Amino acid sequence: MTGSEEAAAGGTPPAAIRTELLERRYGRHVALHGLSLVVPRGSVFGFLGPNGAGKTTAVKLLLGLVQPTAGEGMVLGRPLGEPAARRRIGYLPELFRYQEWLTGREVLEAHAALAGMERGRRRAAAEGALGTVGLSGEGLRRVGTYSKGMQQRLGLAVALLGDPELVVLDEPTSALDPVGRHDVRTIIQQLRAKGTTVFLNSHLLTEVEAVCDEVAVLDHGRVIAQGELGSLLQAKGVDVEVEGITEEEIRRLGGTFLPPRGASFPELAEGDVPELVAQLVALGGRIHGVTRRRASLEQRFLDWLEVP
Amino acid sequence: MLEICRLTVVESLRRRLTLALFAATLLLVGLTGWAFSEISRLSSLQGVERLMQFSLLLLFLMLLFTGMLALTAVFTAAAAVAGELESGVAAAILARPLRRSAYLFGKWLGLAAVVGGFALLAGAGELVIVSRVAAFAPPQPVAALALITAQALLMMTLSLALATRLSAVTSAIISTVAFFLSWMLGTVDLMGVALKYPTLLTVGEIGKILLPTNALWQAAEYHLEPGSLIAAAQGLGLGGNPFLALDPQPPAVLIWAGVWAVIVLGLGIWGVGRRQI
Repeated sequence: MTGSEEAAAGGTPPAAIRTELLERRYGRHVALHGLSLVVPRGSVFGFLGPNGAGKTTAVKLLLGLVQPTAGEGMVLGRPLGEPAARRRIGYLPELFRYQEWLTGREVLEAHAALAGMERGRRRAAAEGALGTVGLSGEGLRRVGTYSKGMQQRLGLAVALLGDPELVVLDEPTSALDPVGRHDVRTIIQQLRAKGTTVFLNSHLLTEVEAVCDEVAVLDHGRVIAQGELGSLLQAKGVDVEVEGITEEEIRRLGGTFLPPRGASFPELAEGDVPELVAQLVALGGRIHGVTRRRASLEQRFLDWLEVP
Repeated sequence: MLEICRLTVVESLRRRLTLALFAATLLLVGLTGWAFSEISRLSSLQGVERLMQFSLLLLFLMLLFTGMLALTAVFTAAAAVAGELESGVAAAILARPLRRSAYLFGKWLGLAAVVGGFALLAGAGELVIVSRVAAFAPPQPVAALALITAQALLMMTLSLALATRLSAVTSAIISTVAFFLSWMLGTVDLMGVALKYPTLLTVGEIGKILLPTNALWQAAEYHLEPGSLIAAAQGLGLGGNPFLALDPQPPAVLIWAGVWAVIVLGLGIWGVGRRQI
């Protein structure tokens, strides 16, 4: 039963990805240490971490390319490593390499065949995927003549082929120029709109911040932070643009005057904002704006990694 | 599995391997035809002596051919499997709903089509050209060709299995060394028979079990030799000569060769199954 069928039957569809204490060791080296993740269906999930954190190992474990030394997991409701689960997964590897002796369209048709697509649909699916990634008109060229950026776009087309339920993208913009990166963001947003789950493995924080709903941060093989992106970036405190109130009154309310007409309340909790606004108005202040503070992902990331 | 087989054949075509093998076939057949035609023209031997001369020449030619086939098979298989696993091409393929056993068996089928096709085409070309220009035909050419092709497929299987865990160069070198060791141990076995020396016989038997390629060659050799040559060699007490097979190989050896191929392919599937891609 597919996820949509389960939903139609009244059951709760399983998470797109669920892992329990997944571990991968290479001899004495622990590449991934007890990874427990839940990736909701339909979300864009960012998987972050510095180089060597174990992100690609985790991705390969999810796809059955690497076997875990401990722990377990399910992908699209099936155990890790089961070929049937991979029927509905699209994957762009970090080291994208495709048969350079095939044309771009032939690569896609071969992947369509391997994914079990009927022969009659393969050509149209390949052309559609090429169009989505901006390679229309390049499908009849040998992959060996593609630039690195074109090869990464081809890899993205391979991952999108046949409308998978889960798309796993491992550093999808590493070889792309700014236009290419923008295109990838747009494609991810289109996937989200269609309800496709996207597992985005990246160390490009602006990219993740722009498109992801949830993130997990990995360091030295361990998850050090995980959750909804908005909550993780939320910070205490508000900045208020106000006039008609004195510096002394602002200080008494716990704030700092920011000339010419600003006030900062760094310790204010989110729930206390209405009360603060009411007090400022009662004191005769005219409020022009209230801005809740939000940390950048980069700032949070450095905090999590305890980088001074 | 069939898609992997198709891709393997397409790769050999696009990378011009098939073209190179076809050119090699033409060259081999052309040179063989020229050489046998010259020898036929210059030789003054007649009757049984002429028959023996051409059968020995053909045996020598086919021995070289099997060596060339073995090298072609091991390098083709090693590059096709290890190259794909190491480059990352296999990562995208194996992320599809494809069992690794199907991946490797598909590779085996595609490579068998290329290597087996070359062995049959070039081998048949050799035998046909010799029969045309020198009017000499071995007694059982089809059986001999089948055994020579089987020998090449055994070498291909060994190299393919090794390439699931080792680099292309290492797999090809180990397979090549194993091929020549099998030939050497086969010679030891023949010496054991001739000298009636049990230790040599035991070593030869172990060699046949570890890699039965030389046993297949000796079986093919027997089918290439006219009865008169075998009788004459037996009369002269030429047993133990690595260039002559005076007895057919027992069926058990041929069955073992098939079982050996299945076991080694199975080990290859186990190897690729446990490999971290």
